[in-house]
This record gives sequence, C-alpha cells and structure tokens, in this order.
Amino acid sequence: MRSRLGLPAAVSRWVLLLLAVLAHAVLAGLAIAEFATMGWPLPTWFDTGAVTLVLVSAAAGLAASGRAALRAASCSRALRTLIRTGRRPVPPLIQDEAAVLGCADRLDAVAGEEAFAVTYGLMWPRILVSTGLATALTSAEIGAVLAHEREHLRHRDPLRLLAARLFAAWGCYLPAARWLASRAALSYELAADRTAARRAGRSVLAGALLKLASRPACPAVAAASPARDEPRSLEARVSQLEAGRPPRQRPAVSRLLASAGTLSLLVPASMCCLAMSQFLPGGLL
Amino acid sequence: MAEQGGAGSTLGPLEAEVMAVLWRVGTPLPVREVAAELNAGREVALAYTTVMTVMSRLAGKGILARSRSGRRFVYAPVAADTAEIAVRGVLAEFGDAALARFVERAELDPRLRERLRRLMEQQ
Repeated sequence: MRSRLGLPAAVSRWVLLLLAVLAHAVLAGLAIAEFATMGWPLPTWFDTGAVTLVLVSAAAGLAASGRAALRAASCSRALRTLIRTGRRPVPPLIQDEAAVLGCADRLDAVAGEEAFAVTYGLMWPRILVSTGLATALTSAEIGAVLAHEREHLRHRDPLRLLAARLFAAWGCYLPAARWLASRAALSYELAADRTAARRAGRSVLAGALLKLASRPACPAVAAASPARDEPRSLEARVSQLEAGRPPRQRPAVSRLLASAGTLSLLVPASMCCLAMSQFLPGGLL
Repeated sequence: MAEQGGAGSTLGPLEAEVMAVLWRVGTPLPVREVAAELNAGREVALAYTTVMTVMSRLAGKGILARSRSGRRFVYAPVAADTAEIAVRGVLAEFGDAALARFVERAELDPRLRERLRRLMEQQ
C-alpha cells in the first residue's frame, strides 16, 4: 500500500476508512433515536428494514471490533506478565547482533528450544525472542531476523496491525475489509523484509525464513494458530526476495462483488436512516 | 533441568506435577515410571490410567513429545519451563491479535522450499 502510493495516499486512505466507520456509528446512533422516538415499526416497512439494517450492521461491527480490541489487550497484558516472571538472559549471540542494530535495550528473551521472534506491545513495543533462536540460526541470520523485527518496532507495527484488524472487524460484513487488513499486514511484513534484506542480504534472510518456517508446528499450536494467511504471506515474501520488489496484491473478484452487493444495500439504507432523522425533535435534515 | 517460571497457572496441578518429574529426571520416561515417581510418598496412589490420560493430554497440547522406545512409548518435555509453555500458549491463542511475528512455523510447500533454497545459495 505505502510502497506504491506513498505515505500521504496511505494515510489519507486510513483517514477515509476512519471517517466511514465514524459515519456508520453516527447513523447507528440516529437509528436508535428514530426507534426510540417513533417506536417499532417505523411508518413504512421499507423504513423499518433500512433503519434496522443500519443498526444491526453497526452492532455487529461494534461487537466484532470490541472483541478484537479485547484480544489484543489480553495478549499484550499476558505477554508482559509472563515475560516479567519468565525472562531469561538474552543469549550473547543475539545480544551482540541487537547491540549492532541498536535495539538491545528493547529486547527480551524467554527460554525455549522452539526458535521464534515477535514484536509485541501496542504503545511501547518490544522484541521477544526465544533462547532457541541462538542455536537455530547463524549470527548473520539472527541479524536479519532482528533487523526485520526492529522495522516493526520503529513503525509500531503491532499498533498498526491492531488498527487494521479493528477496521476489518468493524466491516465484518464486507469481505473486502478483511482483504484490506490482510493486505496492510502483508505490506508491513514486506517492508520489514526489504530492510532486513538490505542489511543482511537476500540469501541470509532467505536462510532464516527457510529454517524457521520449515519446522513442523506442534499440533496444539497449529490447531490454535489463526494465521490462515501465512502460506500466502510467505509466498509473497519469497516473490519479493526473488524479484526485488513487492508483488502486486489483488482482491478476488468474488470478494469485490460480495462487498459491492452489501454496500448496495447499506448505502441506500443509510440514506433512508438519515432522511428519517427529519422526524426527530430538532431533526438533522 | 529447568527453573520454574511464574506461569504455573497454565498447567493443572497434576499436569504441573508430571512436568516437574520429567524436568527433574531430564530423560524421556514411560508412563509407568512417571506414575511411580508421582506415587512415591503419596498416601493415595494415582492410577496408571489417570497418569496416562494426563500425559496424553500434555502430548496433545504439544507440551510433551511422545516417541517409541522399544515396545513402549516414552515422553519428554518439549518446553524448558512453565514460562515457555505459557508464552507458547499466549502466542498460539492470540497470535493474530497484535503481534508481528517473523514467520509462523508451517508445512512449507516443496516448491516454496526450493525457491527459498535457491535464494539462499545466491550470493
């Protein structure tokens, strides 16, 4: 997203999406006021259906985005608590690479043979690695992994991911919203990979990806992990490493058609809801 | 083998006892030997099937690795301590919530693996 259109276009796109969500929330407020003032049903069945549709879609969006926000907050809190109690000394190999990259003061380690690296924390993100990373990868590959994570750190990607997921959750009735959120998440990964490849080299980054992705996931983690987009994401990351530029991302036509169909119902319903507000005391129209 | 972290609440009491035995011994054990260790000094002995159920559940969660040794199965801890188990649990439960993970472990498509291998060999 950012790589193709530049920062201003990406920011304005998010502002537009935020305005759309706010407008939907205001319309839902109007719908509640209309039902409270005029009772159920409204004068015509068309009005009743339209205002109900606005209200139900906003309620679904609010519930889904509330759940997403709660999950994110629970995750951050749980990880912080666990790391406070289970923190281990960062292995010297990882510590040295982190010092070179200037992120040693924002690095935590937990014990574990399973090698992983994540960036967590919404406002003050940190990098978490397992001690197993030091044995699974070479020092150059650890440098590539940390350069990748440092990029997430610098851009507060956990917070940006949360924003994308909240938007997707609000628009849960629009298949295109989920695609947009996945596209944003992938663009953050691709940007982090470009930085890591510039710093450590494509072959080193490819080695780290190969080693860490090709270990079979343990059954419980595989079953619980919701990373359904991971194979597609890895494919795009490999394509970028090969071509040296991010691959084009296009939504499926079926998603676009389904979203257009939903919007073709929701937009007229919203206009009807807005028009009905003239009957409210001190009506808006 | 490993110092306990502060996340013991992720395991049930009996699960924690089983893990403590396996961490202390440091080698893969069959159910019968774990049960014997657990029952040493216990007034009411645990049934073999109870211990087997607990260990099967731990293996199902990916906390114990089960392998064949001769005619019996032996179990070994996959995680080094309870903190690691808890962190893995959080990552598994909330992996998509607000985390940027370097890469998820996945069954790699052989063609993707080959492409990565070719990239690795390029200088």
